[in-house]
Amino acid sequence: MSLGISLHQLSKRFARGKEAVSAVDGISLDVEAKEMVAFLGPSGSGKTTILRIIAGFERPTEGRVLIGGQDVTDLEANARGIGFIFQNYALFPHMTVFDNVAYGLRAKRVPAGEIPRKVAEILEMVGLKGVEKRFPNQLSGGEQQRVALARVFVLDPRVLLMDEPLANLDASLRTRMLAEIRRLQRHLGTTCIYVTHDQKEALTLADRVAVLNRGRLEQVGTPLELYEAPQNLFVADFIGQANLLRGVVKAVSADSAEISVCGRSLRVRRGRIETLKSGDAAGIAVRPSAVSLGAAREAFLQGRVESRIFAGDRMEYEIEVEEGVLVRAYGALPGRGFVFSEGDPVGIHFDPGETMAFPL
Amino acid sequence: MAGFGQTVRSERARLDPLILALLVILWAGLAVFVLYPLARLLAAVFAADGSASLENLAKVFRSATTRKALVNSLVLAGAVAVSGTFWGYLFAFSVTRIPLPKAFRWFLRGVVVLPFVSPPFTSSIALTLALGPGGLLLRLFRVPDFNLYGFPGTWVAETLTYFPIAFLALSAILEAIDPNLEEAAASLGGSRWRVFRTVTLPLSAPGIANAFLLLFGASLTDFATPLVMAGHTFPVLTTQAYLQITGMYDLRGGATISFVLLLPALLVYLLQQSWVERKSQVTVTGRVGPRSAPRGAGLIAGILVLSAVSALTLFILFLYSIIFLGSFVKVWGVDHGLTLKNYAYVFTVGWKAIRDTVLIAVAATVLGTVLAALTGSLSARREVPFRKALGFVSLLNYILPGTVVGIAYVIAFNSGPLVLTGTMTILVALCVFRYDAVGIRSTEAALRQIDPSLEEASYSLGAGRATTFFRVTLPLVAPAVAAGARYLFVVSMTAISATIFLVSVRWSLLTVRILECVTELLFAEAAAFSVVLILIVFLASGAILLLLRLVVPQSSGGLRRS
Repeated sequence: MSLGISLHQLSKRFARGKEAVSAVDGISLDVEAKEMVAFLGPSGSGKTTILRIIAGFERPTEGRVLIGGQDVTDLEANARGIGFIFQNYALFPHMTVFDNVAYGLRAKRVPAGEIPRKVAEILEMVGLKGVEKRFPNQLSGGEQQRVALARVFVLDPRVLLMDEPLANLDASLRTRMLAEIRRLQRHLGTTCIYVTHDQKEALTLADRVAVLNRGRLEQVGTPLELYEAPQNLFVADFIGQANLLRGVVKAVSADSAEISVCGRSLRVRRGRIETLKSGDAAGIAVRPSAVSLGAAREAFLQGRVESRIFAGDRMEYEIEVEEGVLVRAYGALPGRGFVFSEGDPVGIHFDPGETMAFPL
Repeated sequence: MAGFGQTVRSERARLDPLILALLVILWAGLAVFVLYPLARLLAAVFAADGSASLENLAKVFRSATTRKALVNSLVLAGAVAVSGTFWGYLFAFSVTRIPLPKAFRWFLRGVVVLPFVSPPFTSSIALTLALGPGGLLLRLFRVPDFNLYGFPGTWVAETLTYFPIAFLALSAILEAIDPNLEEAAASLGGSRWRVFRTVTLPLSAPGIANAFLLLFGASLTDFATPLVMAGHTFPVLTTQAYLQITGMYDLRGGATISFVLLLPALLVYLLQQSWVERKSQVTVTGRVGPRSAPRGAGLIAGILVLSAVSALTLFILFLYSIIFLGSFVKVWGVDHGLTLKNYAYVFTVGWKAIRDTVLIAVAATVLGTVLAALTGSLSARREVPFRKALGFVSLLNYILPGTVVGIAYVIAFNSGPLVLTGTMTILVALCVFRYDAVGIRSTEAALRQIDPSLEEASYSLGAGRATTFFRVTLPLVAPAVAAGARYLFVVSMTAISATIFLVSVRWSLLTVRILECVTELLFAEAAAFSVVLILIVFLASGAILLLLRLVVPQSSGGLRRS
């Protein structure tokens, strides 16, 4: 049976010397039953701390944790019925794969006769038949990951928490395991929170993504919402790539704002227009895909190609528009369009429908 | 809504009543067998006629022999530290820096370990048989009279006994130096000698200092070797304190001499600890990657180093074979006919000593292992109050010279509220509270190395505290506990500097019997005792390893991951 998770005003402060440092700062969030939510943020954003509080490894300084409507804040970790996947897998090095997977069953006092069948079933499900007698240090990284998953799934946890589970795998294995984890989670219908600092992982895997920064929740939404309608400059920058420019608000109307950037005036329709005030500083975010390049003369901004990189399916440029201000843009491959050389003067246009502005 | 303060919790977990009870028992033991004897010793040294006074110290310093003994002790310790560090470096360099066949490397390591499992007189007896009056080598090379006794014999015997300590310290640090650094220096144009002088040697300097101080301390507090080798012309503090008590029946005088020994020994220990604290630049890179093989020392230097190392190795093997052969001859130096009568002697006259020693060692090992596991896991926990003090006091008897501890025990348990003289209890207590230090430290270190996520994984899989401890934590620290147990057994079997003050008619020890044989010039019997002792130590060591395998099948490779 899968249960939802509710976090109410969760805070965690550590004492560092005399100062109190906030690792988690007033987080409230509801995760639906059977939903997969990714916690995405740079290191030090508090995402792992929240996960450890939900698991019961750490106590919150303030706030409550509810699982399936029941307050578990004061419950010991072993009484919460939560599955936890550790970044380093935390497989017991002195036990075989079988004993690792059977560990939780034995702790739960499942009759000894049922254990071999359950272990065999779950090992088959994660694609690990026949390694029961091996020890963790005799397995590859991907196999260890599967054992860690089997050890948790065999208990049919109400809630599954994963702390950067793929961080120790190489790129191709990571892609395979990502699909595998998604398949298992869907198949078993387990509520899942997945912590990562890799936006690609978060966006491909999760139903919803919670973006965290410095212990605060910046935005929660579906991957598409976050990409299409970021609520602040941090999310705009962190999800997908964006060129960030500084500007000053000239005028604000109902559906657009006029902002001066690099000495030019730009009309912006997206972002948090309603919060801007005339005369304020504003941050502009333009995705590289919304930057078009052309002849220098009648362009919105003029610049000089600083660097050019062949990126497989396209060329990537960095263009200096002012001393120290670089704009990233994509261009066609040689033979399929015009290719600029380093040092070339170039004109830049921003697609007004794709340009976003936020208060600074 | 959660109000501020209402859910604020202390990070420090509540102290379990079980842990509290353990702490009380532990502190009681430490108070009786560590703090109390030391207090009684200090009281004996600093009291005369019922009031505090420095009279006792002044008295021993008025004696020319004691002053000479102090100087001798320091000179000897310095000499042993220099020669032992030198040989330790040569061996460590050979094993870590010269490309040698793997088998030969293991052979060198094996030879170096021999002195650790031997009774303390082994090198002294072997040297006497080789170079003493009528010695094998003297007759072979027709040297008419050569006096081994005094400074030279003591120096050589202690160097042979203690250079393995330097070897262990130095091979660890040389192994930690990434050969890439030497390759970098070579690619920048340095010759092999220049690379050694400007990279290898400076990077191993902390290890050299550490080895020097360890050897200085070992020699300063050594009792067995000078007792056999030093003779009357070369008194040192440890033997003087012993003779003062056993020869002059002057407990207070002996205690005071041992106090004179304590000060430099403590100073050296503190210096050594601060050296180790200052972490060397070598070990902290934390980068795990493929490492290239060491480049070697160059042909001529390699040959020189290897010849020296081989010569000493052969000499050590020669000395051990003398002990072995010596145990089978009728009278060494006189009648070299083969006989088993020495072993007959060992197993009849010496049987009681063998039985007593094994009994005491087994009791000490069992008790000490439990105690070390408990103390180690308590002092590794953050929430335990006074855990630093617990760690320090439990190491105190180990830091103090054996002579000091032995005399303190005699003073404390001969009279007063707790009379234990002549019992097995006092011998077992001495071994446990003195030699548990290694087990405590290794248990603590092993616990610190266990990733907390393993215990968290166990909790999140539904296991409680007890299950987690017995199924996860304990098996993972078992190898460290077993290492402590092996050490405890070996030293309980071979100890003498402290125990010699505590043996009685009721309880005698193998090492003391060996000493008696040596003083009665029964070298063949002494050799037979030594062989038996070494065999027992090897057997017990193997048995402990076997037990570990049975308890934790995967223990050997267990700690590698996570």
